[in-house]
Amino acid sequence: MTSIRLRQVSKTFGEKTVIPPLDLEIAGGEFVVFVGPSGCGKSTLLRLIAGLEEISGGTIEIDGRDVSQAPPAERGLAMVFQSYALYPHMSVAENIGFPLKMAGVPKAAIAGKVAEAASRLNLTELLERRPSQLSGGQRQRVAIGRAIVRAPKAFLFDEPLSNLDAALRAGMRIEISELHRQLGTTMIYVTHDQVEAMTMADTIVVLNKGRIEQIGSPLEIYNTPANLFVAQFIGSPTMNILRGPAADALGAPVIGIRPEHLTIVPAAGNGTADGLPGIAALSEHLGSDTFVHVRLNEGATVNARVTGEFRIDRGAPVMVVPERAHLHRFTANGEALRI
Amino acid sequence: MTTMDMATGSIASRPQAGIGRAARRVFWPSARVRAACAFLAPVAVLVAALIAAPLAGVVWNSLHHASLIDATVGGFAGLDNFRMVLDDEHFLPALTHTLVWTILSVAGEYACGLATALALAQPFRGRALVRGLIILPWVIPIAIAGVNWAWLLNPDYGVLNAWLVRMGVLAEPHDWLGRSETALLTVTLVNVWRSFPFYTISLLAALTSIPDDLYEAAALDGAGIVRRFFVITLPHLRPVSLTLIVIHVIWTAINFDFIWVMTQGGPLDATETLPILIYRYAMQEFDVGLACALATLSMAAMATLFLVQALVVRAREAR
Repeated sequence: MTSIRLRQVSKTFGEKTVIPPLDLEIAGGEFVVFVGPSGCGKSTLLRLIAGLEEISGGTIEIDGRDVSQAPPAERGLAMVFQSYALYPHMSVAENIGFPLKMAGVPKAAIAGKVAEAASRLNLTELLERRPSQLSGGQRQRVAIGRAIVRAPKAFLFDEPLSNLDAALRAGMRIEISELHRQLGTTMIYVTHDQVEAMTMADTIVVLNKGRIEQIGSPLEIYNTPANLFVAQFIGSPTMNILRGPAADALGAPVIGIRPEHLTIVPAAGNGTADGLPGIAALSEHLGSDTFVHVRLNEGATVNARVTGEFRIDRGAPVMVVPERAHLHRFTANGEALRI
Repeated sequence: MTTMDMATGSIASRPQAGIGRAARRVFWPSARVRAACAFLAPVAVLVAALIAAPLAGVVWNSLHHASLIDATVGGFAGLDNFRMVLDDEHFLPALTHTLVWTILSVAGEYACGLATALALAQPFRGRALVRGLIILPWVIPIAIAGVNWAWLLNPDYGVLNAWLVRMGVLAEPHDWLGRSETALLTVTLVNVWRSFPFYTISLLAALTSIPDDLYEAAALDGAGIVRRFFVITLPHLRPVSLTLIVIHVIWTAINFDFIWVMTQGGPLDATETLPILIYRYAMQEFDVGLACALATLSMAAMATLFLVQALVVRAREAR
């Protein structure tokens, strides 16, 4: 199984540094997700690994071999693009078989491998069709088929599900995770969708402005974010942040509390030692959960998650009680305070 | 009457109106068709007056005797005019010249257009300026371009000959347009120079619409630069190429002005193409019947080519 190591890899476009020098090690067989907001450099980093962009500094090693200057085809990687990048004038079978044809594999062997990949991805009935005759999900499967047929050292996925609707996206998430389980090949997956990151990754790499903010398992990142950026980027709805006297009272300059760690109780006066007084500003009913937005008396607005259906009048005075065991404490600079 | 009343009324009155409407539909087109006809009528009149009627006139004259200077000449000729055209000793050479002129022109224009489009698709400093400048030959009027090239190529005072002699390529100035062995090729080259920017612009537009992802995917799949050109670039250029080639085959085959301005079909008919021959029949021999017969033959050939292209495109789209 293929390991990938980045040492002091950087990328600049003219004067602009997109990725300052960074180090990253990806173990063989790992499913690593690069996640971050738009423009954070996650796709650029993936393209550097693929060889589609030249690195400005540092080295990239695949299985211990320095491939920093190697052309994309010699790195042994397969990539699935957001746009699918299928060859429009070729049939599904020709698309899937194209990398094998380029590698000089005999026709009979190509046909066998294409049939195998098609059967794995439920594409057997569509082999003679052109990409324009396929749905978005089917096109994505063809793109994945083209990647798996050549048995690459590692798969690179560049936001592969962004063009699919929500239902299809959920299905494809499961299919890609299942594919990883079956093949056991190293996969690097770029997304801005934290749900994809949380559900699919063995390891999440959170990127911001070209820098790695944190590397860890999904639950490590969720439960012990390294800083305010990670804390607010991972988790939906986003983590509540308190500053000023309310935070000081809880023992840090900045306090983060996830919505599921807040409890709403009817107001019993003007505040208690454990609760923050406020008024219910808005309720969002999702059926399984209710999100109650509470405007605190000290100014901030927090979002509390209540399991099931929960009715509360707008403007009703309430008390928001945080679970002390689940408070996230940060310095004024946004770094996590470990107690 | 409220909206609700009107709706109820119209539904209630439908059964009575049913028979009348059905009967009327047989003899009278629907309002939608009538409106479409009204909108199309002005264009139909224009097309009929400016295109259909003259074309019909050409076909009519091709089947009749007609002269520009002798009013007594007339009457039905049947296929006599066609027979005379095909028997004319000028016809086969003119046809050959037309084929050479058309095939070499279009091939040269496509090659130059593709090469420049590929070059201009690459990023380099000043690309926007070059993209603007390259169109210049195409916007120069044919008559001016032709006369200027005739000057440049003149053996006595032409700049090109002077340069070629000075560089040692030629021992002495060559009369490019005045010698029968080089006249047709020279006119063809000038035509390529004049027309290739149209290919450049069209192919460049098609090139820039090819997603980069495709090239990147092919690079990862192991396709080298040449392979990527044949696997991605050329297939993407196929539709625009087919259209460009067909319309230019037609435009070039029927082109009269370029050759007329530069050589008037000479020397010794070396650059006489079918349009020049048509002009000679009509304006030098004043035989309108003969000119129209050759024009009809030429028109039939072009129409066939256009039809074949349309059928090929339709078949490809159906696939």
